[in-house]
Amino acid sequence: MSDSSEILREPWSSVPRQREGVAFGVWIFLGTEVLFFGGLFLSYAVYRTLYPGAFRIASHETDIVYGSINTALLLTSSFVMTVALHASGLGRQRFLVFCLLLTAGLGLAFLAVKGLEYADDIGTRLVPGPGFALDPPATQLFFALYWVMTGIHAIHLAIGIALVGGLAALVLRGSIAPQSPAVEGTSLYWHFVDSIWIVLFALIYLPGRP
Amino acid sequence: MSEHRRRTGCPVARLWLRYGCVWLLLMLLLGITITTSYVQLGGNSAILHLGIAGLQVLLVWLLFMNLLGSSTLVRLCSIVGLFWLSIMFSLTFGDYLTRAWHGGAIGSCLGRASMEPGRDENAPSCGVQ
Repeated sequence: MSDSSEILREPWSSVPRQREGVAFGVWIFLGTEVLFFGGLFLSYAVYRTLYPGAFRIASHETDIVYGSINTALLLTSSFVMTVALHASGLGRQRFLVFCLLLTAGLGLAFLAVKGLEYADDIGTRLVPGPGFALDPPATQLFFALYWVMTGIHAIHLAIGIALVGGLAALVLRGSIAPQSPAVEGTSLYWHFVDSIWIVLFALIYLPGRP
Repeated sequence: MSEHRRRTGCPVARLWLRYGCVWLLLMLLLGITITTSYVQLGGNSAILHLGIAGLQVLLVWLLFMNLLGSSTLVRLCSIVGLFWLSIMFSLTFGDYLTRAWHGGAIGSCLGRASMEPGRDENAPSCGVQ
């Protein structure tokens, strides 16, 4: 009962209603994120349809090892985040904090690997503009989309890491209860960012391999 | 003490086990998609890899994001963005795929690239200059 009074906020009349409201609100927000990334995915789809050969050549130049490691890291982070959410439901404060910090750590590892990959890409002149390394001009379209899509995804992930880390700090300090609906809201955002990467991986790293 | 541990330790172990199975399935799909990317599948490779990606996203959305256990309202919210996306893709490709339309040949934009041997694959395939 004291847990319910800690969790309940205005304007909600009950905790179940509040949880439903959080899930509803976050999914509406994620719908706007689908619109956002959808525009980029549509651009990719149109240019890949117009320039299939150039996109195959360009995609072949991406490093599938970096991409695969990053995908594995994010899938694992989603797994840990789900366990964290259920730990929240069980009221297990320290276990929840451990899982949240592990999730944030896996996200940081993703950003570190992405940074190494970006450094390699810059070194091999895969940045569109003067001095671009590849031959058909349309390969620059692929890499323009690559930098924008992965860059914006990385920004989203960094925001997610800050949210998860901040949530862990609040729970550890006792500022919010472990059963707070904020855990579910954060969890939904994190899984969504992971979903975006799953599609990005298939678009950027897999074509042009044979 | 041991009974307390059994009551509190069990749910955590069940959590790791239940969602660990989903994680294993996701990693297996990842392995399949990477391996098959090295097989010459032609135009089917995009369908296969996006299909596997779609399956992974479905597992994350249904199981990790708990859409299976959510209310109808929340499930509706989750698909609204995808519904809008399908409209956007349909309208846009309805334009691009019919720009080289001569007397009713649907998909001539994609067909032209495969039907003309020796054609420069790096040139746009829809008559875009």
